Amino acid sequence: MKNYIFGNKCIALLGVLALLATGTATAAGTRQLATGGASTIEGSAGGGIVPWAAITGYGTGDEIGATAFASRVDTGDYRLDSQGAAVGLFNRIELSLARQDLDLITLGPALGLPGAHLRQHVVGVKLRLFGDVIYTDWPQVSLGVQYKKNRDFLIPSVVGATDDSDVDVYLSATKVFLAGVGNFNAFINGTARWTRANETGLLGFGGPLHSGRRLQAEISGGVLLSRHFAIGAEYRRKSGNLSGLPEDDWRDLFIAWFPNRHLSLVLAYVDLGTVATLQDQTGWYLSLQGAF
Amino acid sequence: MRRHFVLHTPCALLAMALLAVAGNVAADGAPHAAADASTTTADAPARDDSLYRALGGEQGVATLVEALLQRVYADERIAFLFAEADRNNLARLIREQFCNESGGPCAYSGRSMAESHSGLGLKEKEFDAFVEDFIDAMEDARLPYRTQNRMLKIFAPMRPDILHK
Repeated sequence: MKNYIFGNKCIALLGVLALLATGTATAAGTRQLATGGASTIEGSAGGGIVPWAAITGYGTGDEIGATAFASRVDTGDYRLDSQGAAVGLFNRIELSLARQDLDLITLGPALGLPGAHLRQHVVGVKLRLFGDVIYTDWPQVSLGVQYKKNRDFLIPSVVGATDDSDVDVYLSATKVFLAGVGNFNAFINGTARWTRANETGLLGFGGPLHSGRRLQAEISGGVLLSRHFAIGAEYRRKSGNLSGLPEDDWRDLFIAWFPNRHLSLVLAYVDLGTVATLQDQTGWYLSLQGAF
Repeated sequence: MRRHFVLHTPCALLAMALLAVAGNVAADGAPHAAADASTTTADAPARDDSLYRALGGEQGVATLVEALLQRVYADERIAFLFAEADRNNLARLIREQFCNESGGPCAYSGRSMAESHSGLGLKEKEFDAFVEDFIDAMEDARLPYRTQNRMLKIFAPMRPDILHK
């Protein structure tokens, strides 16, 4: 995967293309507010760390929608910045790009590598198989693929990762229960991910403990307190493959704000557990998404 | 301590899922029971008219339907779909339907949703535009969010009868 695909220029270009594409359709699409979810750190539509079956943006089956996002997770010892863009085609296919930059604030100097970063690029494709998050009795179910390419493989290779790129395959089911909890609308999402990533790929793929892909469960759910605000939680199972660097499951509690179809903001308290020997990595997550 | 917290979150989520499902099933029973009641004899159990009352009864439904039609006729995305309809007749039928579906003391004299949308070839974006107008109209009528959700829950499953006909 060429580096320029993930430069600022490319993401800007994708944004412009998305605008042009949606110029022929109703701006920002017609689906109901919040049904496109937010953007995950890996670029797919979802919460913050768990993808949904939803197709990004607000395009119905007759429309194209597009989104761009920027997010930051900061635990003090680590800071992960992600940016990306995605296009939803006819509420059927989602194409996404994301780049991640993990600042090893504490670990870098400790390793004699001050200013060290771990960067990764993610290309995603998601196909809605059947269902609609709101309108069908059964959930919306989608199959997704994330191709990940680690851009700073030196540190991952030193700690035992075998590959600098790999593919995650996931199946997501998402359902909104109208008036589901005390007559508030509620949503539940379950994702099964087949992966061999270490710390989602920021520490490469495979390793001495395990070389093949394993199935990991991810779940998220919440309640819409109003048309514009949602609260909820996410949980993502992780199993690293690196000996001596056990990794913990990730979880967060979030509040999301959808003032209109063009903007959303997600604030979360995250608990990442032990990340690369540093324990108790808790902190804040902020994600901003624009939709067109 | 850490392990405990790990278990805590999925547990809470599971509880939420169960609540959601339970809420869904419980609320699901009401409109069906109501529909049955309208077609059976007088000794059938009383209809649950709590949603009808939450809408504000006859006057509330009339206000809501007027707000809805104002929204729809002013919405260039879908107004053309209603251009040939007699607005007064349409308002009467929607009032009957809202009253009936919400458990109120009315019979719906119109055609089925599938019949009344037959030949329109409604697109998904038109359906969603109508839903947005409907939510906006419920806001106009100052209906509480949770009452709005109960209305959406009744009408959302009608989508397959309305789309692409």
